[in-house]
Amino acid sequence: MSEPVLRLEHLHKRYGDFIAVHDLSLTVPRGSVYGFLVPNGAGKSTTIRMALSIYEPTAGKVEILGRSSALEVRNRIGYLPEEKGLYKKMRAVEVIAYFGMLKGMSRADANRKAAELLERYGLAEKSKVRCEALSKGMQQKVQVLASIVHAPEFVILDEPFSGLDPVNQEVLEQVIADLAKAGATIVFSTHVMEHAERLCDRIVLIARGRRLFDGTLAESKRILPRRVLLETGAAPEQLARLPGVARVERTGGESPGQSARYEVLVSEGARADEILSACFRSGIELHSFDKNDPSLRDVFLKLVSRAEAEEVVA
Amino acid sequence: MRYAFLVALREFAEHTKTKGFWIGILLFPVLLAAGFQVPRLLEKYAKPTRNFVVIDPSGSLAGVIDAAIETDYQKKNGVALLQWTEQHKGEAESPAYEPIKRLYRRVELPADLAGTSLEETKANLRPFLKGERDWEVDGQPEELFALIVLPDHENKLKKGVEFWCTNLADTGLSDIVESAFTEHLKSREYESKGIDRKELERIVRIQVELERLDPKKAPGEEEVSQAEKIRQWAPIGFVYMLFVAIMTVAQMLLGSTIEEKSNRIVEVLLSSVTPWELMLGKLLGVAFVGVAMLLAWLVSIMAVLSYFSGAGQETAGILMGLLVAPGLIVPFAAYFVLGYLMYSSILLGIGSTCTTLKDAQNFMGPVMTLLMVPLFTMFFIVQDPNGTLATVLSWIPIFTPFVMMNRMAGDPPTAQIAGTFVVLTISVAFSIWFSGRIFQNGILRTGQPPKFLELLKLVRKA
Repeated sequence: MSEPVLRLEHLHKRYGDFIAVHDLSLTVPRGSVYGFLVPNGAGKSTTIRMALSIYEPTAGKVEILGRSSALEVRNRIGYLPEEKGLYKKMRAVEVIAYFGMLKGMSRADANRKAAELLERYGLAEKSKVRCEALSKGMQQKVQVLASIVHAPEFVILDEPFSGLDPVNQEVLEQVIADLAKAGATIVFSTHVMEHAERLCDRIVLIARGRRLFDGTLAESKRILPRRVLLETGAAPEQLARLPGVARVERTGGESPGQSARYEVLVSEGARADEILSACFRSGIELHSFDKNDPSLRDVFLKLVSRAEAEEVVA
Repeated sequence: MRYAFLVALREFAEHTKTKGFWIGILLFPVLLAAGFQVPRLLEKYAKPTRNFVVIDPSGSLAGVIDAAIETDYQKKNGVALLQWTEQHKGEAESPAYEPIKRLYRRVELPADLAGTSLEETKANLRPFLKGERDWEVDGQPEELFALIVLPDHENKLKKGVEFWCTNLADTGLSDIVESAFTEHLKSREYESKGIDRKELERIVRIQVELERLDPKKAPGEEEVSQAEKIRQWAPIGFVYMLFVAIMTVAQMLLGSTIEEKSNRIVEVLLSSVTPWELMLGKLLGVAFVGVAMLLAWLVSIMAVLSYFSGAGQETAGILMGLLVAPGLIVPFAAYFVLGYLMYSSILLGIGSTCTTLKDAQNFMGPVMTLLMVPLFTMFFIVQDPNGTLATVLSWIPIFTPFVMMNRMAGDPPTAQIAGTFVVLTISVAFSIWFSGRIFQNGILRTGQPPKFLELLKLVRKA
C-alpha cells in the first residue's frame, strides 16, 4: 500500500487546563473516503486545524502527504472549515478563482476552472452574482467549490452537509463521489450517519478528544452484536437453544403459542444464516426472517455512551 | 511572497471597487476648487444689498456718509476692473466688463413712518430693523439693515452717532460710517488749527520696516519673502493630509480584517497562506489604496492650483511651487509609509483579536485619542518648529511622522531628522513584529476580545 495521506501520532492539544485532544492517533489511507464522526465539542475542529498546521499540537506528530507540515504541501490540500464564509462583495466566480490562485493556480487556469465547476454543479447563471446576493445553500456550494477548485489530492470537508436542503445534499454527494473517482482522498465530518454510511469506505469516531474507533464501515458494524429479527409461532425457549443464538428478546406480536416477533442476538463467531438453517433443521416455522445489521447510528450512539460511561467511572 | 501579493491585490481591488472610495477621491478636488471659488462668488452674488436709513436733523451730515460709501464702491470696483483686465489679457474678444454690485444703499424715510418726535420715528422703525416687517424698495420687499441717527450738530458727532442694527457680524457699513466721521472731524480740526493735511499724513505714514533676514540662507538670498511665510505654514496642510490618509486606510484595514474574521473566511485563508503572508498582504494591499488615494489628491490639488494660479492668485502659485519641490514632498512620502505601517499594524493586531467592529472600536478609542496630540499641537509647532515641545514629541515614535512633517519647514537639525527616522523605523519593525504575533494567535480567536494582559500573553505564546 502506498503511504497514507494523513498520519496523526499521539496528538495532544491542551488549552490551559482544558484538554481538547487527548492522545489521538489515526491513519487515513490514500484513495479512501474517510468519515470523521465526532460529537460536538469533541475536538474535531482542533484536530483538523492541527492536521493542517493552523494550530501547533501540544505534543505528538502530524504527517500529511509525507511531510511534517501542511504548509509544505498546502497546494495539494483542499479544506472547507465548519464555519464557512465568503467575501460578500466578490462575485461567485471571482471567489472560487481567488482561492484557486492562493493554491498556486495561474489566473487563467483558476478562472477557467471556476467557471467550469459552477457550470457542472448547476450554478452557471450565478457565477457573476455577488456572494451577498446568493442564498445560504448556494453560498455553501460556492465554498465547497472554492475548496476543491485546484483539484487537490487530499480534501478535508468539515460538516459540508450542514445547512443544505436534500437536493443540494445530493449535489454535494455527487461532488464527493466525483472527487473520489478522480482519485482524491476525502475526509469529511458529519453528524448525519446516513451520509457517512452511503459515502464512506472508512470511518473514525472520536469523542472527548479520544479515538473510539478507526476502521472500515464493515468493521464498525461488528462492534455491535449482530441481530436477527424474526417472526415465528415457536416458543422463545426453543429459539434460545439453537446454535449461534446468544439471547432472545421478544419485541412484539401475539401471545405465546401464536406468531410473535423476536430479536435474536447472534453469538460471537456465529453467522446469521447459520441460525436460519438451524431453524429449518429444528422444524421451526418462520413467518419472517430479517438479517438486521446495526446501523452506523447505533454504533455511534453505543460507542459514545460507552466512552462517556467510562469517563464517569474513571 | 506570491501569496502575500495575491492577498494584497484582492485587498486593493476590494477597496477601490467601492463607490465610497471614488466619491471620496472625486469630492476632494471639487471641495478644494470650491474653497477657492465660493468666497469670491458669494461676495459677488450672494451678499445682499444692505439698505439703511439715515435720520439727519442737521441736514448736512448725511452727505458725509454718502460720499464715503461712493468712495468705497469706486475703490472696490477699481480692484475688480484690474483683476478683470488681468484675466482677459491678450484675449482678442473679451466680454464686456460688468461693474460690481453696490453693497450699501441709503433709502429715504417714508413720510408715514416719520413720527412727531425722534423717539417715535425710532419706535416706528423697530419692527423693520428686527426683520418683522419688510421694507419696500422700488416696489420690492427688502430687509432694512440699519438705522443711523445723527446728532443735530457736528460738534456732537464724537459721541452722538447711533447705529441701530441687529447684525453684529457684518461690520462693513458701521466701519465705513465710523471712519467717515472720524476723517470728517479730523480734517475740520486740521483746518481750524491751520495744519497742512498732506504734510501731516506724510508724517503719520512714516514707519520703520524691519528687513527680515534668514541666517540659514546663502548670502544674498536672506530676504524673507511671502513665499517663505507660506512655506512655513504649508506643513500644516501636509500633516493634515497625512492624518486623514493614515486614518482612512488604517480603518479600511481594520474593517476588512474584522470582515474576514466574522465571516470565518480567515480559516480557509490560513489553510492556503501563513498568518504572516496574510498580514503582509493586507498591509501592502491597503497601502496601495492609500498611495492611490494620496496620488489622486496631490494630482487634483495641483490641477486646481495651476488653474487658479493663472488667475491672478499669487498664493496658488506659491503653493504649487511647494508641492513640486522635494523639500516637503519627499519627507511626506516617507512619513506616510512609516506612519501607515505603524498605525495599521497596530490596528491589524487589535482587529485580529476582535470578532466584531464594536469590540475593535473599544480598542480604537485610546489609539485615536493619542492621535489627537499631533493635531492639537500642529499650530504651536509651526510657530516654534525647533522648540522643546516639538523636539520632545519628535522622539515619540507614534508622533514622529506627524511632528517631523510639521517641523519640516523649520529646517530641523539633521541629527534629529536622522535620529528620529532611525527610531521610527525600528519602532515600525517592532510594531509589525509585535502585531504579527498577536495576529497569528488572535486571528482564529472567537468570542470576547482579550484584555490587555491577555494580549501580551498572545504575543508570548506565538
